[in-house]
Amino acid sequence: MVTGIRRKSLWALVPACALLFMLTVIPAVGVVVASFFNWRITGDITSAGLYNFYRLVQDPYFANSARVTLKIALFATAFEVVLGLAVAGSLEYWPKVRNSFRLILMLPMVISPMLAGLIWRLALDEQVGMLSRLWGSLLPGEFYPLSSANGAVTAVILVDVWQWTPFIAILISVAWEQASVRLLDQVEVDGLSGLAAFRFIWGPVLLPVIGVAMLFRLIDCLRIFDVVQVLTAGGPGNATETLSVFIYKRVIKFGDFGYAASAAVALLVLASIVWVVGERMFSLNYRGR
Amino acid sequence: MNSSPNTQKSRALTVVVLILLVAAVAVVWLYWGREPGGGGVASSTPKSSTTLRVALFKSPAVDAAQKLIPEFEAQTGIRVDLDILPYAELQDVVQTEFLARSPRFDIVMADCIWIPKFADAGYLGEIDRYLRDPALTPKDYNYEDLIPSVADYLGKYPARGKTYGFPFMTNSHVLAYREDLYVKYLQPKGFRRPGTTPETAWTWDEYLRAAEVLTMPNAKLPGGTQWGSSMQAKAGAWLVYEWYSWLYGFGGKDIDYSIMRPMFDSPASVDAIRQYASMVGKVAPRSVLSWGHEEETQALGSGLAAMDATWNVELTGYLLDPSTSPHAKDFKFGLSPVGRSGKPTPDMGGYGILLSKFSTHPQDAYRLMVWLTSPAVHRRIVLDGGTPFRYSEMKDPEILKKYQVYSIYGIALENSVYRARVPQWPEIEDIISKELTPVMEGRSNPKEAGALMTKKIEPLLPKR
Amino acid sequence: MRLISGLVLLAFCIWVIVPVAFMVYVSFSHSGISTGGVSEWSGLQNYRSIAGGQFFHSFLASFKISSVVCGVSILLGLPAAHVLATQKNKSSRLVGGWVFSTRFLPPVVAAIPLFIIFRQQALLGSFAGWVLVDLTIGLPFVIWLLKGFLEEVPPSLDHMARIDGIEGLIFFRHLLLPAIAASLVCVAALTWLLIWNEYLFALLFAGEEEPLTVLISSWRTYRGVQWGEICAAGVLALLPAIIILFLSTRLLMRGLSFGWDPNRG
Repeated sequence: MVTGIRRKSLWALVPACALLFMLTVIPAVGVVVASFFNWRITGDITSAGLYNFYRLVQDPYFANSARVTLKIALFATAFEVVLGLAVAGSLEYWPKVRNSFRLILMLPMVISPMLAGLIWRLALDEQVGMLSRLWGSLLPGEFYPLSSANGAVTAVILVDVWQWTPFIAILISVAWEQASVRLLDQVEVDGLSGLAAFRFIWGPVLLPVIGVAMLFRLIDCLRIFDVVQVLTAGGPGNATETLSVFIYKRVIKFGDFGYAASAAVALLVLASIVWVVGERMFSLNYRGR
Repeated sequence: MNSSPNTQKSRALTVVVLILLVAAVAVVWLYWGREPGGGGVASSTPKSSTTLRVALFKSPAVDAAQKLIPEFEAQTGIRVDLDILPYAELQDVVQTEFLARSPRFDIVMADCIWIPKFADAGYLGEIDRYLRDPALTPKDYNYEDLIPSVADYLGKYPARGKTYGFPFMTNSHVLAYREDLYVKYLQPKGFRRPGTTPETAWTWDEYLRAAEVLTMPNAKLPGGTQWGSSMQAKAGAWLVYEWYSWLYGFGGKDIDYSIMRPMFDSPASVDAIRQYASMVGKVAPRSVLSWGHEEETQALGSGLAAMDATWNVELTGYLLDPSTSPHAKDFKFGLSPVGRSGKPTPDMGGYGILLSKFSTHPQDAYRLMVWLTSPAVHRRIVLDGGTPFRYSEMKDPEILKKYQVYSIYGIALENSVYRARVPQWPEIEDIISKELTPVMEGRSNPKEAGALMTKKIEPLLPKR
Repeated sequence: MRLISGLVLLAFCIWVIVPVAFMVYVSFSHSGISTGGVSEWSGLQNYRSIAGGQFFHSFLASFKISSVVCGVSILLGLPAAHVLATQKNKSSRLVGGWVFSTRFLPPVVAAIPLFIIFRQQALLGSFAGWVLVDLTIGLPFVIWLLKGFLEEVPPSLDHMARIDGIEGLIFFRHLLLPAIAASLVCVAALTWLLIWNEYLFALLFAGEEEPLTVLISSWRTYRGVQWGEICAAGVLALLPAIIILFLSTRLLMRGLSFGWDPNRG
């Protein structure tokens, strides 16, 4: 191949990448720069040095947001992996319905997270909701999923688990199916299903898939916004004010751009750490390596 | 892998795409270096010297005003463009234009809690000299007819001592109760009827006791309980707006302006936190922590809750509409409970129409503001769904026949309290809401909450 | 074991479907202030009452933004993806990795500076501005997915074309396009859906357009929360997603996992 042609055809990358660069890298750099300024919607912009970060460290609301976000990310991801594994494993016993079941599982995934939040807002509604009625007729005690701090956090986790367990389940299930087929081809041993096959598949096949799926879910949970905004709007109090909601509020309601930027830098750093660590750990060499 | 055959294809696509990109960049570039004060956006320049542009948000009062605007245009020859935006966007659009010092809007409609921010940043045009000019303010405008507290809260910014506009829509609290339930349960226990004068109105203690009486099992309602009181305790503006009535009712205070110190930790303020929070779970369902305007109205209208000490007057129409509210005919209104001062202390809300500092024809804009709020015109807006703010409107037989609640609304407005009039209000509101909610959940105590509010709000206040 | 796993699947199936079914049920029920909740069957009443007003405009706005962003993303993304898929050298791999990583940028981080820049450039609330920010979602998605699909096109296609001297748009239209048509439709549909479902950027940048996600989330009236109408709107907003579900399951799965294909892991 002539190198000249190769170089020329690289030009096809330029428009897309230039635009993407403008829309992602420049804003990311902009956030970092803005975090060093005292910049309010009504006032002038003055240099603030590290003051915004000092405020961040001192701010109990920010600490709360970080805590809540991590809590949601860890619990949701953990539940999703365990449930997803159970569902994918169960599916191995029912090869005939495998594909139609996967189709049903995709339903939550194609729903807008905003709408998912709203559906659950209705299901959990303390007066008219489906679950509150069910609870009232079956179980004793009070049911306040949206009006108590722990209830609201649980509700957010619940919605995320509802929407994204299928994602993990299907990823695992597809990998599992392929691996079993290969295994059978190679060994041609009958009855090597269930736990026996699981031992062969677990390490080399399922662990990497789970790793990747966890990485996706962890980072998506760290930036969770839609569901929270619709389900609880960060409340009650600040029980579910995740980092994204925290930042959103400071931009839109308070017009405190510099401070919001410093919080965004913190979120960016957090997501990057998870991304870099995850990428290394699961040697996530994306397709086309 | 090779790819040379597609070079030409890539090139063709690239050309198209590059053109698009260059166009996009050019658009951004053109506006990039725009100086603040440099005249604003091209499209925002008024078309002729006699066209006024007004930013408003969609609401019954605005709908009513829109119908009357052609009369103003015919009388004066001034053209009027109304930009009617959804409420959620109004602040941002207006703020954006102000930031660019753009003359796009001559008049803006603003929520009471934005006025300090706008005034402090120098976005609003002063109208005091126009008010004194008989050519611009006709005698029959009768500024004294405006309820002074409303004219002050929705048109002025005390820290600057200036007037920027007039009230346009008002809101405050009255006590809503059900006549049928009063006769059946409260009268036999010796409760007097919630009064319509400060002398006969209930006290907060009476309200709390009555709410306890009215909290009772009712299998027909979802959850199986009829609750004594409706609330709007959702985090944010809802909770804070409602709680302010209690804060002042129990003799508390938000800020001591003479020393610029928050007073949320005073014993009276702490008592207000305690009493307000005591309702949750006792006379109101715990769910109120996720209730805003809508749920509060729904609970009252459906019979789930029996009373509301802080009923939003602007929503009365919905409560009294028999097509949506099964108890419409039973609702009665009294003054919201009187506080330690012997007067009711309902918190005031509402919207003013304010002159933009950057208006290119402030006198014409002022004429429109005066016209819209004049006794003759505003009366018609009220009859068509607006809310009143003139003494004459509170006594107008035609208005009272249609909206009986306005007979006590004047007293409510006159005695209303304000939320802190400082530019940092959004942050203050957020802090109050965040510290108050845990008390209602039982995770914190009133004293601690008051202390935390004070501690966190103090650094935000401007130093005198 | 088969029985237990069957029960697990059944339970999970119910858990997945019931909330959605409840929304559909409420959309046909009478709800509001007079009942204090959800009650009797009301037929199509909720659908009729939303048909007139803002809903239609919002539906159109959502349709418009989804289609435009989807179109622009494919137009810009396809050439880029083709380069990334066919040229395996260090720089293209680096670019590919970077494109992939933008998927993980928290939207709110990109949103703040764009919000500030746009408000100064009068792009805030404009359609162009809204399209630009939505491209931060659409473009990496399209590039990455198409790259994966294009890698599966047998290299012989390229060789064949070169031998026959077929180049440029003809190569694209007659050889490449048929080979990836199914994948391309799937990618386009998913990109479209991604924007259709998008909420944060719509909230910040859509301005007066008020797309469906924004409209539905703020569908609250002073007459009480109109769950019937909200659910009717939700059901209608869900329809495109349901239609897209009936595309190929395998392609969809790869799309939803951002091109990550466990078959090849």
